Amino acid sequence: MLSPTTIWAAIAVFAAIGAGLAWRATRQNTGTAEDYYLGGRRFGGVIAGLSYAATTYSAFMLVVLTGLTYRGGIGALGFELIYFAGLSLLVIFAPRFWLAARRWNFISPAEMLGARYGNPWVARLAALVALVFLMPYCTTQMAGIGLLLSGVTGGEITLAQAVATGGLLALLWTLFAGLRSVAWTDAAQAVVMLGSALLAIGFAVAALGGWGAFAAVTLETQAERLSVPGPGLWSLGTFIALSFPWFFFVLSNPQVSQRLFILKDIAAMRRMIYWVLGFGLIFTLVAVIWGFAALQLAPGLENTSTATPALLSSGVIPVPVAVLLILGILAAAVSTLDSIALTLASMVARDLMPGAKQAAQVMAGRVVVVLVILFASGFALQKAQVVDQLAALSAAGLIVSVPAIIGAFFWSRATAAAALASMGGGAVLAIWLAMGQGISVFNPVLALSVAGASVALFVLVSLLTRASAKALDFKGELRAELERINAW
Amino acid sequence: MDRRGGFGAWLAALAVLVAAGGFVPYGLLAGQRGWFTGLFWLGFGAAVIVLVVAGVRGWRER
Repeated sequence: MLSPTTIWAAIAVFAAIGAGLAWRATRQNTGTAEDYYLGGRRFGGVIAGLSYAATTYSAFMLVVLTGLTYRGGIGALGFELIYFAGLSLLVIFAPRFWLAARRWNFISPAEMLGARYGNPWVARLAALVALVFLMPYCTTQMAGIGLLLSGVTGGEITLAQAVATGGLLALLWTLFAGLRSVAWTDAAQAVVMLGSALLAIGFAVAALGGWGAFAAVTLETQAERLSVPGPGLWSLGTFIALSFPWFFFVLSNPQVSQRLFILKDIAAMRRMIYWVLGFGLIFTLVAVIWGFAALQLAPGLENTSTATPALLSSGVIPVPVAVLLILGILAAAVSTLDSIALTLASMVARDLMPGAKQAAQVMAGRVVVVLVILFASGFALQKAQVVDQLAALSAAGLIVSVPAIIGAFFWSRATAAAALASMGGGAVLAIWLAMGQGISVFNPVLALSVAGASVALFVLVSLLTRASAKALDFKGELRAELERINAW
Repeated sequence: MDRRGGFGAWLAALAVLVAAGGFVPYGLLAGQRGWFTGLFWLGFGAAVIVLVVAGVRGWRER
């Protein structure tokens, strides 16, 4: 086990560096909503790319994905790489989001949908769907921090202390300077995440005799886990159930799609995508290799989500590297948590109180950030079943916004009534199937039914209703701009 | 200004790649003993990067 004093000292240094970045960011704030939520739309590709990576790759990777590898084998790599393939949607949608946001000064993705369909209720419903499915997801980040810190110290750091630490860091890095401090701290955290993970995997593999010996022993002892379906977890049905909604993550999750609003130019956008691709592939491979290493270094675990704490406290990873990786996982959780909190704040400020003054929108956002983090902390401590169910449902639930997003850019005939029907009907169906009928997120019936119903409602209602006179024609009005930047 | 071509081919390549990402391991490679599935998915990840780079490299201000 690791000493709690060592962990607290490392967290204190980490917090001090982050606070320094946040303080510097605060000094550049201009006080407008655009500046608070989007950093004035002046980010370059490196910071935006690292921020995007830190936001999208959460504590899930080195806690849950590693555990899924430990339990079910190589299928975890395929599942995560289908998500990775979803980044290709950026080729189509990133320029469109960016151009639309600049032209009409959109701050939240929900606001963009509301304006496109000419109906503020579309924005409100998109914001509500995000709140319902993303707030519980924040709770899982808190729970991940608790599992990690408590696991590596043998329970000497309690769940409450761990959750309070995560909550305070997220608050500190979001509240005062908004996106500017979130993005700067995200970028620093992404470096810690990747650097610490690479170092740790190097030591783990060295302890197993090097890459050749690691591969040979894995082949000899874990042959079943090297193919699918493996020992049973990764049936084709489970693979489709998990991969399908995650493929659309870049569109369905507003905390990442909002990152497309912050770039200063199209070259920065391209550079951002390159950084996310490089980071994503390496981090995915590390998380899966880490799971296979844990099978050899910490065999026989009943709770596979404790694979990372077990490996870190197994004695083969030097204490400084283990502490650095703990900071890396803490960083992954906090960077996802603060980004979601800020995006939800922008949705409440812009979509639920659109007529408010700039200062009021910033202040309302700060209140929402505090509430989201308190909610996540409180429910992580209570371990409420309903919140766990909604968190597991987040990917399948958020997919209901995808038809309205695709239709916004590619189907002029799409209407506000259709967007409302597909998001509202899809969300209700997702909750009813999962919580009313008990259909697991590991069952493809859930995600496919929700997506199918959402698409069907969107198409059918669009054909039966008329577009609002206030609706914007993204397809027509962005055509010349897309040609100017040479995008498809 | 002319619209950049090749979108249909790029989209078709993406669809084939994503479908292969599921059906090759669960079809051709199902139950194989060895690193074949892992290596296939490693190549899959590299192919995703090639495809995305091909899609964004033409972006420019003009």
